Amino acid sequence: MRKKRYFTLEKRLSIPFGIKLAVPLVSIVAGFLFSAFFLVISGESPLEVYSVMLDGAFGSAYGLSETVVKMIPLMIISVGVAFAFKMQIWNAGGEGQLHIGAAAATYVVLHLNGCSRFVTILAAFLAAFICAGIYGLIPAILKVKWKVNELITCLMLNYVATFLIAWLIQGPWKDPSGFAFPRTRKFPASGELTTLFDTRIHTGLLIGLAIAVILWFVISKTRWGYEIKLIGAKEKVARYAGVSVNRNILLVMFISAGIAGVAGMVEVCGITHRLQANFAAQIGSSGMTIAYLAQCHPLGAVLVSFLFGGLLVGGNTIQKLGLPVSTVQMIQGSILIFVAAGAMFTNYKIVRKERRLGHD
Amino acid sequence: MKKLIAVLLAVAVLCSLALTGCKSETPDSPESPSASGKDPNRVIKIGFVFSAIISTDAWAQTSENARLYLEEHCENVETYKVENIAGGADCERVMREYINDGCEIIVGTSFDYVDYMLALADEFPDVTFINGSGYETAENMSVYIAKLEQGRYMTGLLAGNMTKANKIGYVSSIPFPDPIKQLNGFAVGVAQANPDAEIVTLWANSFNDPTTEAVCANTLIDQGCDLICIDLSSSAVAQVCESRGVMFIGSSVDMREFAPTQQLTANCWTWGPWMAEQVEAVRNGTFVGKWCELDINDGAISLAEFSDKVPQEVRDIVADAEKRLREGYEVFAGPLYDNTGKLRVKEGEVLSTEDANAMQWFLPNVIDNWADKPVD
Repeated sequence: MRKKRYFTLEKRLSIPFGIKLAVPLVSIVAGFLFSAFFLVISGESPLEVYSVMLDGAFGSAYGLSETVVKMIPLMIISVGVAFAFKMQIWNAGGEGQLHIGAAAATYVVLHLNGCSRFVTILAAFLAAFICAGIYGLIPAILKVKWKVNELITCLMLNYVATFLIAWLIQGPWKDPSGFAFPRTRKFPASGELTTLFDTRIHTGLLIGLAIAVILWFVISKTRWGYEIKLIGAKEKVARYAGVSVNRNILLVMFISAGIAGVAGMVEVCGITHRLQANFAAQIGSSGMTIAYLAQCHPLGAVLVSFLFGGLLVGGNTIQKLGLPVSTVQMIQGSILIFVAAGAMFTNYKIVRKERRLGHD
Repeated sequence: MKKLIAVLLAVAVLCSLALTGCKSETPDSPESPSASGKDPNRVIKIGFVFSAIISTDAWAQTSENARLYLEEHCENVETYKVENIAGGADCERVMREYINDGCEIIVGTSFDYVDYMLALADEFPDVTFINGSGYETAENMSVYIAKLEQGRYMTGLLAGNMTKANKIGYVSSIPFPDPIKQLNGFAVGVAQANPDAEIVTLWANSFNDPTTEAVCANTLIDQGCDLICIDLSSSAVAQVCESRGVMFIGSSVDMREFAPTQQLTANCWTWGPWMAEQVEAVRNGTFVGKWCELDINDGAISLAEFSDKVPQEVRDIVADAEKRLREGYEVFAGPLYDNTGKLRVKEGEVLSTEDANAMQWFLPNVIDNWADKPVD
């Protein structure tokens, strides 16, 4: 009788906290090592490149503050879409909802002249949340009524929203004194978020953290959160248990999209201070990635957004070494791929097994 | 398994510590570089910020060419570049980092940067800012742009002479005054060369969107255009024209590599010599921020080498136009009517620079399908 030893993947019954932390860290290091290979081939010193990258993103008070600036909209949009992902509703429309939110906030700020900053910002927040939420209801209603795949409609609606913005800033909302460049008027001071610590970090950070904590509480500590997770885990079971799936789809999509809209609002009110094309480059599309990497955990999304922000900030910094932008994107991409693929080891473990092969 | 993870974790932590520890001095607060010494032989550091990826964007390439020109022709100059920085949160950071690193000159390449550059120019009076496009300036901030209609006028003459179908395609970016001004400059040339030719215009709604641009080019060719001119930054239209055997006129830089047999010429913009002057002005402390509209006599506007397809008599016509432009010929000289029949420039008058930079109307030979007709 012979035995054959082999390795196989086995689902973890429980996931220890150490694993949750170690897997992404090891994945990041693996991504760096993988990229190092290509850096060496192209004649760069990986150690120098990585030290400049980390230094640019985390090594100084200024770099750190800029990483946080970058993290704020990423955190809000990823927390938003992660909320829908929890219920297995694939809100891929974060980018479009972000644009709608930004447009709504812009409209409010430019039309509420003479109000105090608190009132203006509160109104912009509500407008962004509600308008983006309603925009998110479109795929939700289509799904509930006619079982239209929300992934497709969400992606399509992204284009609708970005073209709507393009039309607004080239047409009716164009800055009359802006030499006809396609962008809106600059916001009055009352429409700008307050900055903190003499940096560009703005109060959007607090809005984002508050949203993340509230969603974490809702998901893990409330009955409604339990229902959402139940629908996500097994929709039929939820139905048998008397949970209204359709009502939850509409509600969760509204909130998820509304939060994505708030990401747009904090970016225009906190950073660009006007609506212009490309104001949210790299943000909209990164929301889903971050939500996935954070395994849809709201607080995890905050952490991942911080690292993601650092990756983007540090990526810009290393270009000054003379590295072509494609190399930078290669490093960023390989780190993401390693982290995404490595996530498997959070849920599965490698076990060694023996199998008896039949009689000779 | 746990041990393995613990070891890997420790390695990861050590690695990241080692990496962050590598660089000791970190600039904590933004400080302006000491230009007080004003040693005329000092090394001047210049930081370039590009909104696009240079290798895929012709407009960015014009400023990259200027950077290379500085590297080659200026003494004691060090240049740096960062690409793919969209207007928004990123450009201000990249510029501040440059200033921290001791850059005396910051060169931007996008009108999206204007707000941030103006604010930084105010905060760092010792740093010089130069932006490609835009209108706002400061004492220490200049804008460079060219009288682009001059180049377009020359290619318009060429196109009017070369088209057989009397239908010329023109793919442009976003219908705001600057691209409209270029389109109309082109239209003046076409009208003078060939009163029967019309210009069918499509807007890609972006400066660099290869997919949409290719669709636009194919549409125009399907409609019967036998020559396509672009005011865009990608090479998509060049490639479509090459594969479908349709004449092509490039923009910003020579695009011959993408349409080796079909490119007749290209409108090229050159900033290098002007920028070298600005660097020397900064070196001598004589820099004055202003809005600089460079023209054909500044060497900013030129055409790429003609292809063999362009016959000698057409070359002569264009050469004559170039001579006239150098002698002060104005492209937008009256009488000029728009495509609704309204008189826009009276006989004997010339469109002012301000009005040219606010152009929201089209010449009569422009067929424009933009749904939202510009109003004035």
